[in-house]
Amino acid sequence: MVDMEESAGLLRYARSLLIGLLALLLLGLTFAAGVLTGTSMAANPEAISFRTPLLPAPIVAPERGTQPDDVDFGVFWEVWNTVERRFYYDLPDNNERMYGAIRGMLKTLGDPYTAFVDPEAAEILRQDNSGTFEGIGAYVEEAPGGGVYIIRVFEDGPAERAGLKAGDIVIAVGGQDITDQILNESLLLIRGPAGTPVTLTVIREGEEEAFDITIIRARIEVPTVEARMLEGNIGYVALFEFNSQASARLTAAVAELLDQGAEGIILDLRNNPGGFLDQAINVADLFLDDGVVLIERDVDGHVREHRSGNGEIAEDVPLVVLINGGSASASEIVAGAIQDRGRGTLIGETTFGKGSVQLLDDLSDGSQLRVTYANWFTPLDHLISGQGITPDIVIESPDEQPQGNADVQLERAIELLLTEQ
Amino acid sequence: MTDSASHATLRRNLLRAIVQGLLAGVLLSAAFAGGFYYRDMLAKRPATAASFSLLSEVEALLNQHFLYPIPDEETRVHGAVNGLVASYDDPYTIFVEPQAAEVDTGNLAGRFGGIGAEIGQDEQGRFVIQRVYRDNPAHEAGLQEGDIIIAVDGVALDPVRHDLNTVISMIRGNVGDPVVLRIQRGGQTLEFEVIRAEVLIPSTFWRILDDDPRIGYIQIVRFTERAPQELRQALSELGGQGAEALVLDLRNNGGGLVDSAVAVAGEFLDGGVVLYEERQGGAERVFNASRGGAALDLPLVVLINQNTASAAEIVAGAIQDRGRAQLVGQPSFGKGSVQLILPVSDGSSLHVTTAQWFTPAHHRLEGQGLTPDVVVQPVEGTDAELAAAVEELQTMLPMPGSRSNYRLIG
Repeated sequence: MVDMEESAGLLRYARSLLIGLLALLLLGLTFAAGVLTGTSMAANPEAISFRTPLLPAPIVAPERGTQPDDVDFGVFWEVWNTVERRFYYDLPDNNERMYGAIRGMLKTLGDPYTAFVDPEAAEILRQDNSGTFEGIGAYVEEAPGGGVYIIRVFEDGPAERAGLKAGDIVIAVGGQDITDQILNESLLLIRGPAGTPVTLTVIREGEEEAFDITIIRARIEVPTVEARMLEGNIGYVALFEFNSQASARLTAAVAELLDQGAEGIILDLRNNPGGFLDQAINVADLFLDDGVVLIERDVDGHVREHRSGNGEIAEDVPLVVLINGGSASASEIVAGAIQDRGRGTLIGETTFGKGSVQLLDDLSDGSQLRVTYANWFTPLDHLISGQGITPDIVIESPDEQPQGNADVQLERAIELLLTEQ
Repeated sequence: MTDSASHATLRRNLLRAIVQGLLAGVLLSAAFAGGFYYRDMLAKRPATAASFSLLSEVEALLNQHFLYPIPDEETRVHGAVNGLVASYDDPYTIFVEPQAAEVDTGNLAGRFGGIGAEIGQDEQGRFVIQRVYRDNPAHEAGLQEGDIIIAVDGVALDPVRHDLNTVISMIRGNVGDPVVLRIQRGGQTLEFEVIRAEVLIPSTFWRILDDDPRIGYIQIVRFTERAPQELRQALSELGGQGAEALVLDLRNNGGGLVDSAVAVAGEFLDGGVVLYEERQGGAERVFNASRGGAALDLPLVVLINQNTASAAEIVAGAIQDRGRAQLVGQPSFGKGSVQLILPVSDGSSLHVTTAQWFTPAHHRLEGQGLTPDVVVQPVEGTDAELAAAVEELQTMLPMPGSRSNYRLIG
């Protein structure tokens, strides 16, 4: 009797033990499964996003390319760790070091347009490229000794109304010393939601001590378009950059000029460094009827034609485009299309010669990567990289502007339009 | 057992099974979630892992979209390293790629397998022999100053593809192995086969001065590994030639190895501090001179100028602070940082600023240099500093003819 009970007990014990062990094993395996799932998800991040509204290029799903893990970064980590262990001075923070590494790596590509933009600069660019931002309204640059130098205040903007003047140097924002910060960091402090106040500590020549100015921020338009009527019913419009407001504001300005009786249009693209591709296409479309504006060829050999359509308001009016060495990229797309399609006359100097297109990618930490992904070609299939667009009438800008600011290129454009009429 | 009782038991068992099942389910889910977040936490913990994924993001985007050919992996990794090193913002913390690293090591050692000639580049980028060392293979084979090297072992040299370090690496090699140089001289193209030998770049030059045969002159141009033994040789020979006073010329000596500097200082200082070194975190280390040096008492003057830097300032600074001798010339460079040169696994080397050093009197050199006891401005066409040193030493020596109390220990 006793024996049987004992062995039954032992058996029960052994069985419980086995179940316990199995349960533990199951838990362990499940834990491991969790780890593996997390790992595989991290290796294929879907965090890379393309900004669809701003680039008409189709979103290409990753078709090829080596896994980043294939590249042996052993040497890189050796250096990183060694310096971390031994360096006598203070180390910059992790992010700064990594941004440096990325920039160094991009440099080996030999393409100045493929570049990395750190989060602060990216944020400023995003705001500027949108055509409006919320801030105080001033042109600024970094002051030589640190701080922000006011180049010019926007007419009738919050800064001007609060009494900020050109030549002022801002040394603190909201009581925080900005003299050892880079410009973009300071700008992000100065900008802010419309309607909110910001206090700037300012040094001004002639004033003994620094003083405070409080400004109520407002919505500021990035100066994009300037238009006026000239003698002889000629409408003049200058476009400064191809930000996301460019074609809308330009169309409005041209419509206004035509309403005022313009019989010829001068489109001034001098020193316009470019901007968004779709804005360039829209601007070209304003002046061109049905046909090709540009042809894109990318790394996989895909060819994509961008076209203008009929029905815009300025497809017939006599047109002259002013260009110079500072006219680049999107400006060259517009000028090149107008020239190749025989739509108008180009006057001025040979353009910059940027014939490549970049994809703008937002990275997971707010920084931005610009990658050259395609070359663009004019309607007659010319690649303008390195050589630019040659004007139909070449007129060099004088090295020094004589008194009275005679604009010889503009004068020639007016002359041409007057004789054409 | 009655029916109701069995039902009750069944229900109880069922309940228990359900509860146990639920419990098991909860535990399993918790285990899974635990694993997931544990891995997540690990990935986030070192900040480097999170920011490294940024580099991976960039690489992935490039692979996918970049229009032009992407350089090979080594180039990209070295590019990233160079960018990383630039972010430290220290001009002396640098990454040196394999070929240049090799040349560096040879130079610092003061010895390597080569032909015994100095090579540079002219304005057109051509590789020119600038100096041929006597008693070395290049000299014996008939190579001359001014010869333009156009090919090494059949490989045509091209300033676009080859830089100076590359060419030097091609010419250096194992002792005993031949190298064929094709050169242009005048209008002719000539070919030379040179058998490499161990080339020793001298760091130290010495002579008895013409102006005063009691004064020995020693110039150390760089603190290579061999500098201490070359100095001992100099001291021995000058002693044998009757030197009773010394000029130690450290002008234009840009530095070198700290250990060599300490050994050199040890010939003039009898033990005691040569420098203090402070590392990351404030830990201080003392470097002492050895005892029993060969020139501990001899009247001495040390020449310095604005190019006297680093290890050379260590020697001059120690000699000045310890009251051993005066410094004559112009203020020195002011490099008070010390770099460690570390090999990297692919043959590159990494120079890292690991410490600052201070003179025996705890003067900080970084950015301020040593002040000479006697300031002498350079004069074109004559060696004003040496003349001043000689004058100074002559005041310390007994009149010619009488016996000197000083001895140079040979």
